[in-house]
Amino acid sequence: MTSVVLYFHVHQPFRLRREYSFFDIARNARYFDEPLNEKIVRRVAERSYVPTTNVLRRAVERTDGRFRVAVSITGTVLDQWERWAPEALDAFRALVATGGAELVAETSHHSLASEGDEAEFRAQVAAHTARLKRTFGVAPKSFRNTELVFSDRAARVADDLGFSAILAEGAKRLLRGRSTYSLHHASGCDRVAVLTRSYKHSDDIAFRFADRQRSGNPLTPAEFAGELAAVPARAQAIGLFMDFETAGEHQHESSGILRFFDGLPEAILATGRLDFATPSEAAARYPRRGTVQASRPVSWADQERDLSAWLGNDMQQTAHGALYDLLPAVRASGRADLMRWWRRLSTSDHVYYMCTKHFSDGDVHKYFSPYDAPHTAFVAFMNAVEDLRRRAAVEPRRRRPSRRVRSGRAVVARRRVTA
Amino acid sequence: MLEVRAPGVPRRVLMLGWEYPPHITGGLGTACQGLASALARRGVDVTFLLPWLHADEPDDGVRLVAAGIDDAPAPYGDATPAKAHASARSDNTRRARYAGNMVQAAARFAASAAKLAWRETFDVVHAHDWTAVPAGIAAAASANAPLVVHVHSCEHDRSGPSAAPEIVAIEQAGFDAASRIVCVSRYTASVVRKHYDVDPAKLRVVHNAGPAGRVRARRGRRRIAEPVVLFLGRLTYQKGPERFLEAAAIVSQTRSDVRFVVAGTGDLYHRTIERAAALGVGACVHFTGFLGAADVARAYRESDIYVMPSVSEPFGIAPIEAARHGVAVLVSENSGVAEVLPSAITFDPHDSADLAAALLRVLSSTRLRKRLAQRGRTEAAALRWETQAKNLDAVYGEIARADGESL
Repeated sequence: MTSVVLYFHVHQPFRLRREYSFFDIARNARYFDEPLNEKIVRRVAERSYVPTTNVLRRAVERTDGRFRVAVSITGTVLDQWERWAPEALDAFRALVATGGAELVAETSHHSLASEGDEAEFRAQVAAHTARLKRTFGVAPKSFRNTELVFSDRAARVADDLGFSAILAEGAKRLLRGRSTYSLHHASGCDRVAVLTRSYKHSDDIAFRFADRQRSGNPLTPAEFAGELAAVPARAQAIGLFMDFETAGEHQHESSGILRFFDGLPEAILATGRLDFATPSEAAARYPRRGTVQASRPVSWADQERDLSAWLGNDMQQTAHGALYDLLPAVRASGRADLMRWWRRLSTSDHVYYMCTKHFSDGDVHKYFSPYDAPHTAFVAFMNAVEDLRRRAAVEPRRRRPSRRVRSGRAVVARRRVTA
Repeated sequence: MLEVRAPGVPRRVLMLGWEYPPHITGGLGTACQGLASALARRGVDVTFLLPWLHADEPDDGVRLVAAGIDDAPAPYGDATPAKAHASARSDNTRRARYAGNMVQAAARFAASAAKLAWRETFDVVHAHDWTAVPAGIAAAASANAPLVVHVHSCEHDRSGPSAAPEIVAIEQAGFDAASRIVCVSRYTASVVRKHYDVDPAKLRVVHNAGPAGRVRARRGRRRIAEPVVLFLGRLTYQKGPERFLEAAAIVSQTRSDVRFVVAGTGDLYHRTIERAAALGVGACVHFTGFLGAADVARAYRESDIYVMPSVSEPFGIAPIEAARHGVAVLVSENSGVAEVLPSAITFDPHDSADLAAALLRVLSSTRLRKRLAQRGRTEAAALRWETQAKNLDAVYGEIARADGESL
């Protein structure tokens, strides 16, 4: 038997206001584009979060729990659901309540803290683990780092925090000839199992599904299950990892993606040689076959499968550096509001928008970006960081929080009226 | 109150230009209006022909006429970064295409100007910058009147070594046909002499001035207490934004408290941002993008030092604006404005260390900064369009006398 490990990543960032300018610094902290973030999360909830979650929940119910699925849900998208799309949160709660869905832990803010500050990395993971427990009543047992960034260091932290499985991209650089269908030890860790993403099978759904559809030769659940069943007999697990928004948002419902996921569980079970497992179940079921090592981080992004999508150019490194330089002061300020804003700025999407790799070609980076150019993203981000720096640098005695709060509220109220 | 004009002094002037406030892309339109309206107040009958009018131009005593060319390109090219970036790879192709469009539009403008000059009577034809030069030559011939070519900037200032030959040729033709060449500074006159074949006896200098009236002072405490150093201008080769960043990098090594602001946009917008990050000053340099008039005033109010690092700047209105706001001014030694703002500190625009040293000197002394601000204010206030219009009127008078003698 080979186990299919189907895993979805659910995330929305708090996008910044493009207009947050030099003139706003030290005047207001309205960094985040509330109307835009609300609009997007509501749209995605309607197109993807609610309908797809219902498809997955019914599959668990129909198969008496033989269909298993894993999801990671970032703290930022949870914040947004609570405010703007509670129906999405209800749908996921119902899915988790079936017992067929495993929650996967990660950083609370989809951050690159593993690359910036280990204490912050641990703090964000701990905060998010506690939040998942509070929100869903279940403690996560497996772990994925932001954008599947995997390194020996990150794995050791996951191992140390007691997770039984960690997800990683099945990159050639990581596997070095080993099978993506096997579970591995992480270098220097005795407990945690590394499960890798089979990019071939995963991308067939995430990226090539729509092309097949358009070519008049659509991918059917049976055909796809047949391809999975053709993996070598000694394969332990097939990692199908993708963005949750693939189903309904990136691939529109009209592409037939929801019907595909609806039919997939039975098609896979019907092969007779495949079943489903969550990451922690796979880790408990299968022995490790060797050890993988990544002194340099591996991710699931772009052809390079490294950090270059986030930290590849000078703007990105400047932004990342400036943010983490600020962390000690934000911590020392002891102010929860500043820490909340800092963490929202730590969301990796902000530096992703600054990627210039394929700026002129108009590709996946552009698809995800609310900005006209990477440079616009950089300017808005750096202005916000500068404002936050000044707030954190203010001596506690000289602070006048009452005035700040008052003016902040007045501004929000005015916006609502004019909107 | 109109003055009575002496007989024999030219009374009817046909001015030819490319833009007029409020629809302007740079300092050209502002200077044209300043001069034309001050001339009108002196009793000169000014007709100003433009490619197109928007109908919301001010009634300032100048008679504005539209040539009906509604697709005229901006005089100094497209300043929007998105469009500019898309074609950044083929900078030379873009420049060539732009020059081609512009030359064509200037030729259509010339036909219209010649017609107007034929229908009506003018004593002088006065063309502002190369886009109006073909029109100036055509109108002067058709009106049988002397031509004045006014140089606000020439192709060598704008494009340096990559000057477009067809534009340079038009400028040269204008200088050949002109009775007088009016330059906005002695510096510009020297650039014209160096790069073009002109009779030095034709050259005259009439400086620009700033707007009249007092500027609004900042109310209350400034929100950024640290020193703020401002660059404000189009982000193009001519304006030298890169030198500003290099100087910022040197200054921030010893003065990490100083904030730098780069205000404006242009074809180098994206490249300048990337350069700031590459130089390690991404966290202390802030980019504002394009600023409207209210935000420009705000930028001056929030700044301590204004820097104009232009490679070559015929005049430069922005330093005067900055001085009016009480901002200490540092200008490129290749600029005309230094001639009318003697208190401004000058530096070599090709040497970022020179600029950085000047900045550090001003930053380290509050007394020096205050003195610069005070003197700058006084010098800027003394610059009146009325004075410059009088100087220009004197040039018109010279031409009339010369014509009379030759008759």
